[in-house]
Amino acid sequence: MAGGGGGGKGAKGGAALNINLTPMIDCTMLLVIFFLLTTEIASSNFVALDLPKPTIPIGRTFPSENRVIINVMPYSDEVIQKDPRKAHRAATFEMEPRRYTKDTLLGVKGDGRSLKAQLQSSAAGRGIDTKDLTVVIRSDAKIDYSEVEMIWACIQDAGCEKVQLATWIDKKGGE
Amino acid sequence: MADAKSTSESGKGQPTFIARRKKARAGTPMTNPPLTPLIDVFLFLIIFFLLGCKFAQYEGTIPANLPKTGSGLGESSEIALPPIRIMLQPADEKGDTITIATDGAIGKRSVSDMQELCTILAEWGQKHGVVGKDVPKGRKQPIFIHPVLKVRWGFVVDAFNQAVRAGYTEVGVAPSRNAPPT
Repeated sequence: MAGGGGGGKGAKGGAALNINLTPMIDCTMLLVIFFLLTTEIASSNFVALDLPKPTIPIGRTFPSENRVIINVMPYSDEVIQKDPRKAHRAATFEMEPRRYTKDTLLGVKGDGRSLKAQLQSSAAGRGIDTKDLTVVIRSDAKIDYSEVEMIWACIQDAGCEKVQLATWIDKKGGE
Repeated sequence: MADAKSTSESGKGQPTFIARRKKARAGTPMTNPPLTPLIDVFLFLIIFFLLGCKFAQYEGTIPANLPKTGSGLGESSEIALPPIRIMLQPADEKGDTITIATDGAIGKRSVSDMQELCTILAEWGQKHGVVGKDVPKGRKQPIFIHPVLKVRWGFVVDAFNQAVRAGYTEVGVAPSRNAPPT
């Protein structure tokens, strides 16, 4: 596969041993190909979050089609250090391709018009009914439930019947 | 190219590329291509993948197709059986620990942890024949999780997970309150 350096002659005539690089390059190439084929590049849908870790989780694999992921993001550690009251509050809500604050997502009145419109347009863009759209709530475990329940209520109000909660699962993929 | 050929054939002037190659074939040994940049690039790629990749197979979802309600979260008028209620309340001021209790159809009970909650729910469900795939729709036992306002999302999902793990399919979450319902 790869040509490596073989033995050679030293400057003073004695045989100098060069390290044979061929196996190393072979292994490295195999590793690169392995990672290319098996891993999923971190997409903007899967932002880094400390997801809930239930006792003996039963989570299934993520739905691959007709899904909308709503990421509920906490405040950064720096912000929380300055204002500890924000420790368990949601800073932003990410739903591809945009990032919302609570006001922009739910509206000042909290009626969730923007979220409902987004979900309905997502369903229409896929050519499906809103009730067939799978909405995954992907929230940080440390966030208060009260921050997430508004989102959940709006999802149901929009007519989405397939709601899923993102969790960590064990390596075997749940029970 | 023609010019180079003619120059090398005539043997006058500077040796051309072809002439140098002929000379190399004739006597001097061929040098191996430098592999160092190749190895560097591969190592960079491996480090990039190791650091930048997300192992998505460790992340899953719990189906939370709640019982149909009129608007948002809450209880539905379609539910025939009195529900089991799971009360979640922070056990300390920070909210890092949780107090679990049951109410409703299953009766008032204090639960020590999520594992015990699953066991209690599963035993009760099997005893009354309200869990499992063969249970008709009207006999499916609803469960409602009642989190108090400051309960962390992680605990709510854990309680939801235990209810689904115990075999219940009609699991809902009630709107949070400042105090548990009486």
